[in-house]
Amino acid sequence: MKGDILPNEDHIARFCRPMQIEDGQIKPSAFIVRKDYDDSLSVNWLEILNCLSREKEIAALRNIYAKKLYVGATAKIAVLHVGEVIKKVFEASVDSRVLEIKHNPENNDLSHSGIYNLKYDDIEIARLILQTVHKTEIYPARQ
Amino acid sequence: MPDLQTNNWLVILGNSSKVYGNEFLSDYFPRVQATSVAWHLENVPSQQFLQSLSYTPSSAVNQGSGAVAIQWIDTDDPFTKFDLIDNEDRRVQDLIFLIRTSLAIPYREILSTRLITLFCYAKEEDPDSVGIDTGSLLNFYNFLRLNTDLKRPSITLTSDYTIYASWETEHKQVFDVLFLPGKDMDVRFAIFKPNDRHPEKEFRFSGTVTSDVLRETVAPHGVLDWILE
Repeated sequence: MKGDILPNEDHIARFCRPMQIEDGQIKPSAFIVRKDYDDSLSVNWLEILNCLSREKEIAALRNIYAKKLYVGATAKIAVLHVGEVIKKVFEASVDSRVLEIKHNPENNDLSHSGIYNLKYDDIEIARLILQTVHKTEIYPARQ
Repeated sequence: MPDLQTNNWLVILGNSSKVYGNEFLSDYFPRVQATSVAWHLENVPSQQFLQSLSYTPSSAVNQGSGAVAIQWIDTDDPFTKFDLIDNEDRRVQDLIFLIRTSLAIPYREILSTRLITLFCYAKEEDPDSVGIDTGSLLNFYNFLRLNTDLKRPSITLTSDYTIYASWETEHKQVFDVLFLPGKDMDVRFAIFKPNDRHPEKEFRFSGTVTSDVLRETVAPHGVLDWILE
């Protein structure tokens, strides 16, 4: 349901655009919200997709993105662990930021969720979030 | 109107030379530049929309460098979105052209090519977008002009199309800078590095300053050790 807090043990995925990637590496700019437009950083809740493997979850995400976004050739999907992101940011940020990750389904994307309590200039937080992305959990956004 | 008798204004006169009151800018604006990317800068009528640049000599950071603020000819037709986007695109092109042809900026060709690539990525996704925020790009340009001894940063764009520069080392030292748009020339910066006495722990420091004092602000934290050539 909209507004539900995602379980700490679950996973989310962030669509990273080509302009937020250099030499194949995702940069913190991928985790910055837009000023005046966003109240949260868009992510997708993987477990609600009810897939049996990460491979199938990523395939499902690719289908979702292909329908709602322009997916550039070098775009990537970064998978994050909900509890790890929240813990890392709380423990390492100067203001002990408490992030909230909530379900925020859309008509064409029922897994859509958001990371709340971010500002457009939170580059320190963006770097901390990026630090929780494991290299093995980055996938091409195009098949 | 700017006072052309002072050092504070730079006037672009068509394709001719540029004059700071009583001093010449030595940068060379070539007519033809080879580029491997699809967007050919030699076809950009770069000076067409540049009316003047204000120049503020600065002694705070680097002697001989200065901050630049651009004034544009107000020829936009406010009634059509197409024209607004078109003119915004040209402003971005003008600024990238300035970076590409500023001899004081190291890696100017690589940096400008990277900026063009980012612009193309943004436009490919959304042709109606600004591509790169001109205020952020101008802020970045001013920073480059003031700091001519930097290693080449990694450059990406935020979803607001503002410039995000990073210097990272394999020793887990990170210096991130977000060049904010607007007349204030603010930047948001963050430093991450191992704690000198407790290497297993991480030192973090962040803040917001104007781009002209960024260098002296972060210098006490050892950042210059890994961002300078």
